[in-house]
Amino acid sequence: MKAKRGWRAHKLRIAAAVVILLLVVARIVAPPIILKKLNGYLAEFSPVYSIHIGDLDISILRGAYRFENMTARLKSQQQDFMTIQAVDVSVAWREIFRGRILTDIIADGANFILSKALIEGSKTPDAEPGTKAKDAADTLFPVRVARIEIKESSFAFAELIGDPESKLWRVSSIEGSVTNFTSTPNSPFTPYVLNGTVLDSAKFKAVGRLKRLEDPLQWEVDAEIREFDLVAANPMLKRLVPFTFTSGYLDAFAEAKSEKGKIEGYVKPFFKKIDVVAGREDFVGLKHFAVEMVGALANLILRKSDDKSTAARIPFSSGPDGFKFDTSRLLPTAIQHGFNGGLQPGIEDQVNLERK
Amino acid sequence: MFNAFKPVLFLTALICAALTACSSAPTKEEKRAAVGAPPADASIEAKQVAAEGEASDVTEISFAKGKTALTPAAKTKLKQVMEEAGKHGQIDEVTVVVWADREYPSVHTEELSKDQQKLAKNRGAEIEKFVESMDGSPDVKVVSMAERPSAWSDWFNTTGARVKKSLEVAGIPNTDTSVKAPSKASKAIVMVLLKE
Repeated sequence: MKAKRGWRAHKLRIAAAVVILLLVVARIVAPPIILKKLNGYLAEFSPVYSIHIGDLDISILRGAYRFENMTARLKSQQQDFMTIQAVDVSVAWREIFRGRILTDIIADGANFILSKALIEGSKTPDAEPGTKAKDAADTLFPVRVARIEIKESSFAFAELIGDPESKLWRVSSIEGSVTNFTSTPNSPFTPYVLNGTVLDSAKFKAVGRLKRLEDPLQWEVDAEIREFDLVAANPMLKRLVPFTFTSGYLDAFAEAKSEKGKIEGYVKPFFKKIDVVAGREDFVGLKHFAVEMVGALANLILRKSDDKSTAARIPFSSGPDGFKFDTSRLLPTAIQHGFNGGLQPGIEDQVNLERK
Repeated sequence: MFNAFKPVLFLTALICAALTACSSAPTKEEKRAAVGAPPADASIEAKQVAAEGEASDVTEISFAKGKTALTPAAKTKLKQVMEEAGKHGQIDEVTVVVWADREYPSVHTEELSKDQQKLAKNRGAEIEKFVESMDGSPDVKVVSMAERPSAWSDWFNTTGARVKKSLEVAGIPNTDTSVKAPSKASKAIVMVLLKE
């Protein structure tokens, strides 16, 4: 009897050792094999885009895997439009207690550059950006997702990938999160939060909710930017308008939502302490001079006397005629701000998705 | 030549017309946005911290300087947020994030004076008492913004440490920042979490 029990214990020890050995071998052998297969698929999954992963790491104890040095590029441009230092995918242990197997994703050091070339490339008939992005996501993240976090990331808009920094609209130091990504009818909202720095000048904040189970997708957003140094936008404004600021700051607040395919919301820009025409300004042409004179005149007439701010509230919406700003409210609200006490800075908490 | 000045003339004419004809009446939303209208229920920072904590409802209230008593406006807001949350499920937890009369202490300051800490604590207790008088069942957690999280709460990532980190990322001012907007001194954020 004693010998039999000893033999059973011995067999259990051998079985445990074999399992551990297999796990160790799998841990060593599997990543390079999986990585090679994955990169092969991601290089060919789209005729327009390709993705490459530098390294893959698996953590069996944590129930996690990690991609390092991911890059995505437009094949026609041969330049990366997205780089990500690391993407960590791990089992969301808290969801196990709710009876759901879901994962948490953390993207660290993601940089995305939206360029005209990328937009044009995405319009080609065989690009199918939505379908291809879903295919790639399903391959990289086969288990449904509970939470997504973004850390130390950046987003930029450039006319051409590789443009010098001054020509980029850049939002840097982006930190964000998306919770309850796999929503249910009982818990239909997917909240998200985004913080960043615009043009190394001002803090940008956004918060909102998605209703991912609705078709079309419903969403709401509250956003604000404070103390944006308008001089930082001069290189862009000079090319686009042309217009330049000598000094001044912008605070802007906006709310919007999309319900049943219809967008509505408002934006409230507050220009503070602005000076448009410098003493010895070098105008690039007559149009530049004219536009700055208009700006200076409008600011002179409409600014509030106590805090020297010029502000307006402009509603916007989308309807059968497309997306439009209700510019008829621009002057009345600017006058209301300048002469009748003013608009309050901050979001109004007025544009929200229905809860049912 | 004339074309270049078209925008100038157009805008000047528009401004003159608006000033003399006195524009159209403000809309309901514009009136609300004007000075004197009640402030929004919650600031963007309050909404951010609520979204990260998966709270269903959030509101923000103000205290009079040096006082712990809830103002009538604060009581109304607290009642509204609890009733609204109660319509959509059973309330599980209420998290109260409360400031003293100074901003959140910076890494150099670490904690505010004992008086300020006591003020924040008493304000939290006042909100807790009011919430419990409405609905005795929810668990009320009070997070004092008069002190930074301890190493212990950082290590265990407690509710307080998580909330403070979220608010810092959201850019709330602290005792060292030169720009004190949007000021959170004398304020409290109240978040309601529902049972699943």
